[in-house]
Amino acid sequence: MRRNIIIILTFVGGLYYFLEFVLPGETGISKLIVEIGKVTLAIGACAFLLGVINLLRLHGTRVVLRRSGWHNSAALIVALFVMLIVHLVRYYSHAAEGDAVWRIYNLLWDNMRVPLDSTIFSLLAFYIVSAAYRSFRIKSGEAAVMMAAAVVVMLGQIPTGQEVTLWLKGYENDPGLWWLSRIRVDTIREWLMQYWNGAAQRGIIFGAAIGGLAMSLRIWLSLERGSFFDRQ
Amino acid sequence: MNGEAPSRMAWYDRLQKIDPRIIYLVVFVLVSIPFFVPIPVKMEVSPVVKKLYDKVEQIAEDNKRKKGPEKFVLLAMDWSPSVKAENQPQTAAMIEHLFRRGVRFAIMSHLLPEGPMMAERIAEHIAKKYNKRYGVDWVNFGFRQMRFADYMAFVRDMYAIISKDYRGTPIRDVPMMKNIRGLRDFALVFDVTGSGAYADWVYYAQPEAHFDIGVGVTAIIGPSIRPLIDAGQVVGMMEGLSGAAQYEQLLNIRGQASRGMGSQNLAHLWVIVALILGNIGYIASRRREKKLKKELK
Amino acid sequence: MPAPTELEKKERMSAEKLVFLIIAVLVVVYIAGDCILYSLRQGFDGFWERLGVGIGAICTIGIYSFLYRENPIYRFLEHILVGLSVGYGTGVVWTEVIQPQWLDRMFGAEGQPANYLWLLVLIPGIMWYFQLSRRHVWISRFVIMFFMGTGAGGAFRGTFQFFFSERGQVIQTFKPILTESAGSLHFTWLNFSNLVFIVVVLCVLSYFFFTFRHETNPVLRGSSRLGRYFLMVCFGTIFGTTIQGRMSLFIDRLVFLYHDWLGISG
Repeated sequence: MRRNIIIILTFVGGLYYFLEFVLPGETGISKLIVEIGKVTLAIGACAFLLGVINLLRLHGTRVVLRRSGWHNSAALIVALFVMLIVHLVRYYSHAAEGDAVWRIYNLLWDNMRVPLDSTIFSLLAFYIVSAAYRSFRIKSGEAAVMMAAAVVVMLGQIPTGQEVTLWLKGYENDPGLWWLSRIRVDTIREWLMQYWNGAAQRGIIFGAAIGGLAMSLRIWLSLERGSFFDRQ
Repeated sequence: MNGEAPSRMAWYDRLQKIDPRIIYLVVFVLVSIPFFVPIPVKMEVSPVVKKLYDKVEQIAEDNKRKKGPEKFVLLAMDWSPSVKAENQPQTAAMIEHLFRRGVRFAIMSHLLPEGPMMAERIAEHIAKKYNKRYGVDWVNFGFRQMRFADYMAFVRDMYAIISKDYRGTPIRDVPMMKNIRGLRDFALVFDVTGSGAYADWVYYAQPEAHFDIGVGVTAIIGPSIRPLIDAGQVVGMMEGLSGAAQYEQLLNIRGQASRGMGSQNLAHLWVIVALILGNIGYIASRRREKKLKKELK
Repeated sequence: MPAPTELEKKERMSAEKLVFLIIAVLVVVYIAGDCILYSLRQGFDGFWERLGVGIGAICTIGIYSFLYRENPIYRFLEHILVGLSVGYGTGVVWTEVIQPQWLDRMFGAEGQPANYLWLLVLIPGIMWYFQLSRRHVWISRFVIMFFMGTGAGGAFRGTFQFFFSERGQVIQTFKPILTESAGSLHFTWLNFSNLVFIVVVLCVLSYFFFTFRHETNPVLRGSSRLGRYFLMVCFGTIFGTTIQGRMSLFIDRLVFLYHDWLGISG
């Protein structure tokens, strides 16, 4: 019974948008799209506390039971509520710039959240150099092609690399030697990116889209297997 | 030390096993040098950046010559602090261009709440230079979390989803909005993102509202935008920091992106050197192995 | 080289701790001095601004300490980041979506009449939270699957518009490989590039074509092998641009440290 209700809900959910796409505008089915959109927006937003509850369960347990690293979990919970409360107070009190709550908000946002977020991601700069050095080896023809493409792209996107072959730009309008201007590093890079990489990416997109469409059809018609779709 | 001879690694093995912390240190030093020894950079502007620039110029010219109703630009700020390094200079360059040419714009995000806030800071900062006023020259819709269904509603009727601006003012009370009936009044959507947010604009919005789409993306995503540029679905792109630096060059300004390209220069050269060193060691060790195998036979 | 003894390890750890401590003290003393200096120059505003920048510097340096070794400071800051991010995200969804798009519509606000039908949204809205209960998790599947259904239905529209519209991917793959000019056909550089484009697309597609066996079909075998090489070019370009992307992140942090915090660069 439950499974049948789920199958019906899934089908109905997708049916409206499918019909809205395939049926002509005169049927009037498109008129509902705005109202349905407003309602689904509100329903979707209601899930906003799920992540918070999960985090509080995990880290709250750690704090209460004083497990290893509980002070980090306590810091997480404190940071969560401080940020949330300051945000809400700032919004509802219509705080102006310079007010105490605005200052605290900027401290949390500009001076903690932004530096922490940016710095954690910037660690990747070191890791990619180290990983490239340790593992990027020319073990086969394919690896050699990949490395050649990588080096050309890297040289073509930096001023020094472009500078090396910039002098060839002068031959652009030469009737006999115009082709020399095409072997500038930045031109080759652009050509590789647009015609080789672009084409390969398109091939990948086609494959992924067909797979995605097949998957969408399976979900819509409830043909899919898995924890959401099977009986409990 | 204890009377034992220390084992020695061959030079080609040492070349493949440089301590990672030395690699990190060299990265740190090379990237730091241009901060103290400025390296002037001039870049060749790539065609995809030029197309984006030309599109904004075209909108500005059409508005100036009053070719039809005024057209606006929508800045979709789908980025967060983690990609600020690339997306912030792109946003700043585009806002500078729009203010300079008097093209009015709206800011919003349907994916990430931080983007509109950071873009607002940039807009307020640059607005002082051009004497622009919020509500008249630009508006910020803020963050409107949208999934597919809500997105379709937004595309069909913008005001159904946007009821207030970023500051809580009812949207119909913002002076600039009097000239905006819907998404079709935007000639260009410039999506700045570090993820696949542009896909929603291309898949769902563009076929309905028929605007052009430009993107400012992190360099990592740049290659995946190329098929869209080829098809004309995306009119132009700022790809990473170099894309923003090229755009700044077109605007004749030396902004954050241009200043960062000196460091990019040295860092890239170090990566190429590291790749070469590692592979020299690898090739030499393979040759040595083959030679030993031959001798054993 | 012999492995370090327990004593050597302990000495090394205490030396590391000493270095960490010295760096931490230097940073804190610098920040304190900076705040005091600016408070003398610009009053409380100056003090507050420099305190903020100092806290940002501590966050940055604390995270970078991970490059040397994982340590408690990094772990602590990582947890703070998660807390701030989740707190911010939750707050924004409330103020930007729930308040204006639901509560204001339900209770009426700024000229909008109240419409208590919006209360019905609470029923599917609460269903999301049954994911937290093992016994009643099936209730949450109603709303989850409804949304998955809408996404699946929308995928048809998205896919067909993306591929088959006027500017679609499929249509734009058919590029001209000859140019007509002055009554005759020419093969220009652009035509060559277009030909390369079409060949690469077909070869890459054939690489992912698993319906027929590649081993028995020489055409498919050849084209899929070429497709592999073309994919390597693609991955190489992605690698090249990834280097730029990652370096940009680090450059931005150095701008903050050198320019905003230490004020030692232009």
